[in-house]
Amino acid sequence: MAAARLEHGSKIYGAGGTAVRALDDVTVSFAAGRFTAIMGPSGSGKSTLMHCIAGLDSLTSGTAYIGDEDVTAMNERARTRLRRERIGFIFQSFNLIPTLTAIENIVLPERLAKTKVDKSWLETVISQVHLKDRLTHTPTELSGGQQQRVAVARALVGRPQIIFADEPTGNLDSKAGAEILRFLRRAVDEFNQTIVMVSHDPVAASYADRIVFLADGQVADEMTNPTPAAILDHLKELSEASSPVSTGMES
Amino acid sequence: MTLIAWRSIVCHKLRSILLALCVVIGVAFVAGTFVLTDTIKNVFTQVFDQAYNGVDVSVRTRSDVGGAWARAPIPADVLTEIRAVPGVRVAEGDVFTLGGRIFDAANNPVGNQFAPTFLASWPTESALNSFTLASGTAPQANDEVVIDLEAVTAGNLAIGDLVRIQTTRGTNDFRLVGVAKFGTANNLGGASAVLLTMAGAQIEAGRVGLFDDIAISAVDGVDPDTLQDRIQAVLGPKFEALTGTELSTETSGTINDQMAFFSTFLLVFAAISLLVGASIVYNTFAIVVAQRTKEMALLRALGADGRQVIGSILIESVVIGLLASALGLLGGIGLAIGLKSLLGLIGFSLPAGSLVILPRTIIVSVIGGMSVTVISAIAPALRAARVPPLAAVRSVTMISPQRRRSFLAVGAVVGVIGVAMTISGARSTSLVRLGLGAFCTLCAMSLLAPSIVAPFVHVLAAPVRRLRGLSGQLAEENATRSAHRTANTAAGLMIGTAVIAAALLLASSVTTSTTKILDRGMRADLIVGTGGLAGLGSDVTASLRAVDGVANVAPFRHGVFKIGDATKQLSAMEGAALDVTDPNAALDLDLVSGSLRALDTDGIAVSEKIAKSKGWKVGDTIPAVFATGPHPLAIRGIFRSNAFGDYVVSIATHELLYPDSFDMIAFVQVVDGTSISEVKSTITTRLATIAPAAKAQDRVEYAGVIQAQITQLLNLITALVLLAIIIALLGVLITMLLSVFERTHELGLLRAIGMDRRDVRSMVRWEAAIISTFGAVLGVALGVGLGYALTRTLRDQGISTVEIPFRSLVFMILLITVAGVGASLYPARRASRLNVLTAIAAQ
Repeated sequence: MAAARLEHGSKIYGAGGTAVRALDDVTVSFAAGRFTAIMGPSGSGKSTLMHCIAGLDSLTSGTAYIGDEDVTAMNERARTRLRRERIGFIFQSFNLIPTLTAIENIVLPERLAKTKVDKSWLETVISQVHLKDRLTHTPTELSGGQQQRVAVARALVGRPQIIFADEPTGNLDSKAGAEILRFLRRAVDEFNQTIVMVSHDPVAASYADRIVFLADGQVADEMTNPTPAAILDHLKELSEASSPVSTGMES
Repeated sequence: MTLIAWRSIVCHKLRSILLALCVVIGVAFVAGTFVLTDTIKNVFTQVFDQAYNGVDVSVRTRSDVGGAWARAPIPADVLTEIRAVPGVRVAEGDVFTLGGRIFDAANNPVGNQFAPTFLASWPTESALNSFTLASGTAPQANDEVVIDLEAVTAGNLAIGDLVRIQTTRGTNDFRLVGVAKFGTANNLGGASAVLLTMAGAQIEAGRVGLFDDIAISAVDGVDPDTLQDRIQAVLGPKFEALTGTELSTETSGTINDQMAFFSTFLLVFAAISLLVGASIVYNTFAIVVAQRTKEMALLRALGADGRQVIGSILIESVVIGLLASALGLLGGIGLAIGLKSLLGLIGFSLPAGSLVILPRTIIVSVIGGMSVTVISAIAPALRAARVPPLAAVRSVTMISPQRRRSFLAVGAVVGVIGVAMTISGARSTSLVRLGLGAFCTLCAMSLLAPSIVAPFVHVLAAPVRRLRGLSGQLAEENATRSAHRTANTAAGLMIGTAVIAAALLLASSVTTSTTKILDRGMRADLIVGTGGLAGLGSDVTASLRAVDGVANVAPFRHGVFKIGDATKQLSAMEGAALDVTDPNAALDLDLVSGSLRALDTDGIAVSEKIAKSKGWKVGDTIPAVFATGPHPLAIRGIFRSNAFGDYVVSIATHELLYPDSFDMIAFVQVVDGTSISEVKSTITTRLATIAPAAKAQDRVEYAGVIQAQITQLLNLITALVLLAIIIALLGVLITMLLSVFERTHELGLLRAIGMDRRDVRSMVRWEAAIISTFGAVLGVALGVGLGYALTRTLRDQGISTVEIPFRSLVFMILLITVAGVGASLYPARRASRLNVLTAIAAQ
C-alpha cells in the first residue's frame, strides 16, 4: 500500500488573469518504506505538491491521501492530529525552536501530542545522528549541520508514517549535507521509514530509491535507482523540452 | 507548552523583568494603598477601644445634624440625674471641643497645621479617662495644663514651662504639669490635646456650667446595655446614651469613612498605573508574537493545535503576572511602611502596631496583576494561533496586525459615545458621567491612534529630518513602519500626560477664577486668619477694631446645618459687611434680589444657583435644622457669587444656633487714605500677643495662599500620575529594545554601508523622541479637552474662567520627550554596539 498519494490534484493560486496553476491534475503515489525524491525546476510545483499531501496547504481540486485517509476532507483539527501523529517534517531552515535545547526539540512533537517517548528508540535515533554530547545545547550553539541532524532525529523519533523533507540540505555545505542524506538513507534501509524529499540537487536526489520529476505543475517523468550523472542528463532533457524554464539552482 | 512558555521567559530575561516591572508598580500601588489604610484603620480601632475601655455608658445631647462638633452642650444638672440612676458607680461630665492652639517658646504653633487641637477637661476618675499620664501630674489649678506627648516633643516643651495656649476665649499662658498619652498612642490620631481642669476647660471653651459629654462607669455586675436603657429612660429624647462599645465603633467609623475616601482617591491613580501597565503588556506581547511568527508556524507544523499555541503565550503571561503580583504585593507592603514613617515625619505619627495585610489585599493585588497581564496577552495569543503552519516554510516573515476597518469603526463609535458622555457630564455637572466619558474617550483614542501615526509623525519629524539628515529620516521611517507599535507605545504616555494636562488646566482655571472673584467680590483690604481649624477665637476681632487706621472689622464664621436629609455648609457675616452701599462692606456677593442688610436671627440669604434649583424666592421660609434643633429661616436675599458659600446668615443668628460660635477669619477695612501696609504691620504686631497663630494678609497675599494650596494639590496629583508615566517610559524602553533586536540584520547592513555608531544611536534615540512626543501631544490635546469639560462640570464650585496653561503644557511635552529619549539610551547603545558581521548574518 502507498504511504501517501495524490489523485488528480490541482492547485491554483490567485484568480482570473493572474491565476497560477501550481499543480495541474497530478496523480502520484509514494510507496511505504521507500525514499522518494521530487525534483523539478523552480516553480514546477514540487513544494506545493508536498505541502498539499502533508495537509499544510489545501488543494483546489483532487484528493490527497496519507495512508488511506483523505487529507482534503479533513478539518483543521484533524489535520493537526495527522501532522502530530503520522507525519514528520524536516525543513530547509528554521527547524528548531530557538529557546529549547536539542533534546527538547527532538521530543517536542511527543510533548505536543502528550504521548510517551520510546526511550530505547530515542537513544537509538540519537546515536544514529551522533548527537549524544550536544543534547543540552540550544540551536544557536549548534552548527547548521548539527541543527539539521536534530531536525532529522525529531522527525524519526515519532516513527511517523511518512517524513516530508523540504530541501533538507539546501543550507548546508556538501559534507554536512551528505551526512544528513546518509542518515535519511539509513532510516529507510534499517528502519523501513518512508521519506519524501523535495530537492533540486542531483547529488541529494541520488540518495533516493525513486525520483519523480515535475515540470509546469505536472509529473514529467520518473526514475528509479538514480545516479547523479543520470539525473543531470535527465534534467537537461527536461529543461530542453520545457524551455524557456531553466534548471534553476535557486531554491 | 509550559516548557516553551518558561523558556521564552528565561531566555529573554531583560524583556520579562521589564514587563513584570510595568505590572509590579501598579500592583504595589494598589497593595500599598490597602495596607496603609487598613493599618491606619486598625490602629485607630485599637486606640479607641482602649481609650473607651473604662467607659460603660456615655451621654450626649441628641443632634439631628450629626458631626461630632455640632452638638449642644449638656446642662450640669443632668449629671445629678444620672448619678441617681441605680447601677451607676461613678459619672463625670467632661468638656471636649475643637479649638486650642499650643505655641512653643518662639511663639510658633506646635504640631501639624492641618490637624485639629482639642480642648478637653482632665477627668478625675481614672476609669473614665481616655488619657494616661506619661509623666508629671494631673492639672489641679485652672492655669495648669497637661499636653499630649507628641506635641510636647514637637514643641520642645518641658514640665514646669509656661506654655502659651490659644483657646476660643483668648490666648493665655498655662503651666505644663503633665504629659499624656492617648491609650498607647502619643497623641489622638495626629491631633494635639490641651487638657485642663474641669473648671479651667469650662472657662476656656465657654462652657461654664455645661458639659459636652457625661461618662459613666457601671457598678460591677450591671450590664452596660441595661444601664444604657435605664439612663436613656431617665433622660428622655433630648439626650442619647451610648455604650462604650458603640462610642468606640462610631469614632472608628468616622475614621474608616475618611480612610475610605483617602483609599478611593489613591486607587483611582493606582488604576491609571495598572491601565498603562496593561497597554504595555499588550504591546509587548503583540510585538513578540509577531517576531515569533516562524516559531508559531513550526509548532503548528509539528502538530501543535491552536489551543496549545494560545496556551504557550497565556502561560507566559500567567507566570509574568504571578511574579509581578507577588513582587507588587511585597513592594506595596514596603510602600506602606515607607508612607507610614513619612506620615510620622510630618506629624501624623501612628502608634506602633503591626501592618494589616487583609486577605482582600492579597486577592485584589494578585487578581489585579494577573488579569492585567493575562487579559492583555489574550489578543496577541489569538493572533499567534491564527498563524498557518505553512508560514514555517514560506517566507512570511511577520504577522503584523493590519489596520482593520472594524477596529476603526469600534474606535469611532466608542469615541463618539465618550465625547457625548463627557459633554453631557459637563452640561449636567455630573462628575460620574464625565469620568465615564473620559475613560471611553481615552480608550477610543488608543484605538484610533494607529491611523493618525503616519501624518502626525511626518509633521512632527520635519525638523528632525532637517536637523539630523539620514538618521532623522530613518528614525521617522522606523516610527511609521508599524503604526500599531508606535501608537500603542505612545498610548501609555498619552494616558499619563492627559491626566496631568487636565489637572494643570483645572488648577490654572481655579487660580484665575479665584483671582477674579477676589478682584471683584473682595472689598476688604486685609484678611486676618490662622489657616487652621481653630479659627481666631472670639476676642481677636474686638481687639483689631481698636487698632489705629482700622475702619471696620467684619468677622466670618462657619458651620453646618441640615435641609431635609442633606447636610449643608453655612457662612455667617454681619449683614452690613455684605451691603455694597455701605462704605465698610467687606464682600460683594452680587445681590440679585432682596437685601443682605436685612439679615436678622430668622433670616438667611441663599445663592441664585440654590434658589433656582429649589424654586425658592425672597420671602420663602426654609426648614433648616441645627444641632440645637429646628430653626426655620426666611429668605431675605438672593445673591449670585457663591465663592463664600451658598447659605449666609448673620453673626447673631450663628451665635444663637451654634454652641461654639467663634470667628474663623476677619475682614479688615482700612480708613480711607491710610496706608494698608502700615495698618497691616500694626495688626501683625498686635496679633503676636493676642493670637500668635493668626496672620494678616492683603488681597495679593491671600490669593497667593490659595494658589499655593492649589499648587500643592496639583503636585500631589502629578506625583501620583508619575508612576504611570514611569511605567509608560518602561514601555518605550521595551519597544525600542524589541525593535532593535528585530532590525539586527538591517542595522548590520546600515553599519556595513558606512553608518557610524553615533548615527545608529542617534537614529534610535530620535525614534524614541518621535514616539514620546506623539504620546505627549495626544495626551495634552486630550487632557485639555477633558480638563475643559471638568472645569465646566465644576462651574458651580466657583470656576468661572477657563485658563489654558500653554507654557506648562509645552514644557510638559518637552519633558516627556526628553524622558522618552532617556528611556531609549540603553537600546540605542545596544544597537550601536552590534557586531556588523553577526548582525548581517542574523535573520
